[in-house]
Amino acid sequence: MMFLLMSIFFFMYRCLSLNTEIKILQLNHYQTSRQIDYLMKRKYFTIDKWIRMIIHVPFALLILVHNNVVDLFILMLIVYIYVGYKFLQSQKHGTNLKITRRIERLYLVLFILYTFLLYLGMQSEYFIIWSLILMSINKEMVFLANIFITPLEKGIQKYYIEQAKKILRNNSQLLKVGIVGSYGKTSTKNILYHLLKENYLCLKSQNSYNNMMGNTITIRKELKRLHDLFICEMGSDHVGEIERLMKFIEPQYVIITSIGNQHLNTFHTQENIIYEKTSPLLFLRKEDTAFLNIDNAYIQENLHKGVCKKITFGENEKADFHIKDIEYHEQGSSFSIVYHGNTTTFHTSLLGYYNIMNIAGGICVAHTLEVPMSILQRLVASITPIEHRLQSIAKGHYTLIDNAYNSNVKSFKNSLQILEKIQKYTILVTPGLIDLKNDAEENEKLMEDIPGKCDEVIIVGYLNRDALVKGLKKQKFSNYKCLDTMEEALVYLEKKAFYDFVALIENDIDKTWMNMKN
Amino acid sequence: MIKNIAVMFGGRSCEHEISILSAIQVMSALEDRYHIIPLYLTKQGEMYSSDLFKEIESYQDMKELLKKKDLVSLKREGAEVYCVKGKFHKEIIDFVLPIMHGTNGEDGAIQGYLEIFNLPYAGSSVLPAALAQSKITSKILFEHYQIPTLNFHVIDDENREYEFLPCIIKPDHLGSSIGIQIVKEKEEWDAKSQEALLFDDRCLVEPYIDEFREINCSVMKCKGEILCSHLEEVQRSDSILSFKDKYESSSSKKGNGSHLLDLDLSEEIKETIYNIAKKVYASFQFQGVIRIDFMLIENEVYVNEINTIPGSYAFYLWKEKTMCTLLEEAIKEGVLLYQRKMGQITSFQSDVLFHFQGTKKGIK
Repeated sequence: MMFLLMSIFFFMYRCLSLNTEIKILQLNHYQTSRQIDYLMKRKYFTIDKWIRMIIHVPFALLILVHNNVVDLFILMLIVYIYVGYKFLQSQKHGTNLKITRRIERLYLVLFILYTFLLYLGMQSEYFIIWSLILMSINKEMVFLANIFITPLEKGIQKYYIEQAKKILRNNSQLLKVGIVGSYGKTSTKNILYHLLKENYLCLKSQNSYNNMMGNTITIRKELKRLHDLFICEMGSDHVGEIERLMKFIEPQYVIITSIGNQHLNTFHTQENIIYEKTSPLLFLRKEDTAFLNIDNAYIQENLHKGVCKKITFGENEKADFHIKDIEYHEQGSSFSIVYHGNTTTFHTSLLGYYNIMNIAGGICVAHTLEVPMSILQRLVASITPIEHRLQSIAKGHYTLIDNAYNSNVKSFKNSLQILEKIQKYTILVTPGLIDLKNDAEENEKLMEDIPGKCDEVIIVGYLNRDALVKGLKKQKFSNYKCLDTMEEALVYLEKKAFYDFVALIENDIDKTWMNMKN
Repeated sequence: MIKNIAVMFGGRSCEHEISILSAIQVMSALEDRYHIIPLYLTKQGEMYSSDLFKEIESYQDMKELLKKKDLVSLKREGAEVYCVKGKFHKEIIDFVLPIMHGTNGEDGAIQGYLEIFNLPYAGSSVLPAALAQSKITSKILFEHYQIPTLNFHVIDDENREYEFLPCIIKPDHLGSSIGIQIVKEKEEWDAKSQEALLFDDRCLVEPYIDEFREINCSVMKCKGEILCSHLEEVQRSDSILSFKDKYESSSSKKGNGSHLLDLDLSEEIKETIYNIAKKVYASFQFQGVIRIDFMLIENEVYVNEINTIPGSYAFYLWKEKTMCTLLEEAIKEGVLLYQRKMGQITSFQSDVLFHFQGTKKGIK
């Protein structure tokens, strides 16, 4: 009895500091491999670990001279809980741990684990040392508890997936559209939803929920009996995941947006990626339809696969929905689609080639689902850009194209192409890119394309300044300026004395990053 | 999967019985396509449901019909709304068709009740329904949108002077010709206006017109387009359609001699009526199927009143649509409107309560 009381108090005390670790576990998606990574990367004996050991020593000594261990231990714990609680309260910002059912179960396992280890400790003479150690190994305990609970969680997930399958099976009239591809899935999903929502009661998965569990959650929580249509994003970073998703959702329509080299490290070879991303074609039945981006070489090679109907879109002449006359202005883009000899022109406030391809994919599906082109024209015009992703903002005497969230080489080059097509004075504002294989070399290389594409470059921050300047000098491009912060750059643009120019912000690195790396 | 459609009818209204008749028509039309849950509201506001409510014969013995065990209530639990009967019996409601006429049904009250449950329903939402139910407010809006209508003034207990004679006094909210008074002589005004004001706090006064034709037109929205039905002419036995005329003489509107379709109107007048009907529909932001009553006085078209939930869902005006297809289109529109509403931001994460440090006595 006393022992149980002690273990409860002990656990309560541990909970005060366990939250941070559990939060990290949550951020690591409960994955053992990521958790190992996290444990390995940190220094093992950190200062606060030592502090944690040391603040417990006086009480340990006290217990040592006293013979009734349990009583005193409880007393000590109560004091510690009180002090610890006050301390936590004084630190205003908590860990904002989101308590889910899974976390509750994790706490239960942790409690059992601690109780068991305490009990073991009681049997030995070195109980004091044992308890001191127990008090300082938070990370390891959470890690251990997570390993113990993983099989149970797998079972629970399986149960939920089965439930979701049942919901789908019961709703036999539901139309399901799957979106597969290396990139552009989430954008295509949002665009397609916008194009269909006036004609169908649609459900799309939240954010970029795109795996088994994400889709399971969406189906179980949000799919209503009234829904006509479910737009489902299908992501994968291992071979076989798309197959599982296809068998789970059984969509009648699938869009394959593009195939690239995303997740090459988990797929190992490009062939695996191509196989995986074209595998929906193998699972679609005769009466189902696949919508394929014919401009992508990998997709084009696999057009013969499977038995389903295939509808293609792209700039390629052979495409069923043939895209042509792409034009960029500072407020957006326009393009035409030729379908069965009829040409329809679309305007959108979105910029860039990839957005146009995503919209075209959406138009194909919506048109096949009997939304007339005239209505699609209006709907395409009302698509709103996502913040900081090639978002065009009118700023009085100039136009700002905000692409602050883009941080890869491909999108950098795509943005430069947009600038090239705009017939105005253009300024590129960038701190360069980070997290590349070789930051200095690749940033220098990025500047190769600058001449002829934009008229002025503003380099922000110190991080890549030398590399970018070196690159520009190599190209004999002299109209550049170095400023310290993005704020300064914006003030500079605001004060620029002539009218009607276009400025592009390409990537914005957080200030804390800039400081850290220097 | 067969969807569960709840049909709400009855209610605290003068047109309670008419609503029952309309609802029975609606329920039998939809029976093959959906699972129907009848929700019958008594004049006291109790809600009953059982399969018996689908049959017209059941209503002859109301005592037998209204059994305690069939009392139901609506209840939201997570993503679904249930019709709960007793302790153990509950059914999911996917969609609601309100088939209620007059006050507490057509006037936005039932729509508001459904909004609270976040249930999708057919027809106009709270505001347009309420606007159309008030004769005075609709008149003011007609004037604002430059929709032709007879001139009018408003009387209440304090302000009870007449402006013109002969005139007709209508209570603001009641439908179906109840409480309407016609004043031809000066001497009658005092007594008759007082009597009219017993029915409502405010009354509408319009010039009394003897010679006119009453033309009805149903309007609905389908796939973003506003459509008008055929026109019908209501034959009146008396100068003003009494409640008796309107309903009691004919329980079913179908095939009754008093309603004429395919009128001998000139194309020009038909066109005018259609244009006005569409303008009314768009400017009041109606949804679903409505019926607009026009007056035709010497080839001039005037809007008289609007029914946001017309009797029999006005299906007899839509020749090329069966009642089932008409209702299905109304259901589809209701579902899409619901989706639009869900897309609009109605709530946001707030930490007001978390940081609230005031006292119980007051918040600044």
